[in-house]
Amino acid sequence: MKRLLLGTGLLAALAAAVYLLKAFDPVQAVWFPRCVLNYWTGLHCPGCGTTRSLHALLNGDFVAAVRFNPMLIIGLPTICLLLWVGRRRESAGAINRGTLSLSIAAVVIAFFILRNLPSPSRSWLAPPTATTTVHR
Amino acid sequence: MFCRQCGKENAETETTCVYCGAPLVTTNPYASTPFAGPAMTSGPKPDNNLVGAILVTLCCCLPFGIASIVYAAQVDSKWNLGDHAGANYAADQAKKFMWIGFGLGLLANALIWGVQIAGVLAQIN
Repeated sequence: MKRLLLGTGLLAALAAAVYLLKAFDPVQAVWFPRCVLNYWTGLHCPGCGTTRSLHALLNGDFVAAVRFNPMLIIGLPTICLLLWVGRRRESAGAINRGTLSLSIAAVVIAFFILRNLPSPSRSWLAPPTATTTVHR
Repeated sequence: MFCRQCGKENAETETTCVYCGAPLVTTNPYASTPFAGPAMTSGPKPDNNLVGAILVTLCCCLPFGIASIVYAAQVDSKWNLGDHAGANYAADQAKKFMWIGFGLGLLANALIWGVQIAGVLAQIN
């Protein structure tokens, strides 16, 4: 019973989040949460653009979704897949030298740095902004 | 090869020491068989929590996520090199920073969001 309630609650929260993200444009709506790091420092964190990216994705604009946050749309599924394959190979007896996890860490950190080079507003990997500099 | 117990030299073909009877082990530091060495005594390999660390970095935007990723990434390689204490330490640190990042991230996000909503409400009134 407890699990049923929890499951229903989580499902309802997910549905609400999907509806809000699909129906409202994070660039226009003022009540979407902002990135803390961006708010305080002006830097783009590896997660900046997630809200706009999901809004674009839910409205069928895959290219815009990737532009807002390539790490979320392409990187995260790829990482999960690679880790899953790695874990399967490891349990089958293959040796895990740790190269995979080290490379993943390097890629995420490199993405964080490159999003802010040469500057947060001019980086090719930064979430594109049309007129506003607000990041959600 | 040399006996690890008494230090005397034995023929390469021997599996136990002819002098003291102790089992002879090949000590090749580059040998990396999955179950070689002290792996049997220090428990199973710890979970590195890499996905959790990345999710905290993506969602909470705090440097703790990066710290967690750096530690999480070291777990597998340290374990493979036989440094099981180091691997366990790195896994613990990764987990610790993941939860600190999660907690502080949630707090900071809630704070900023509160300020933001207050600003919007003030503008409306």
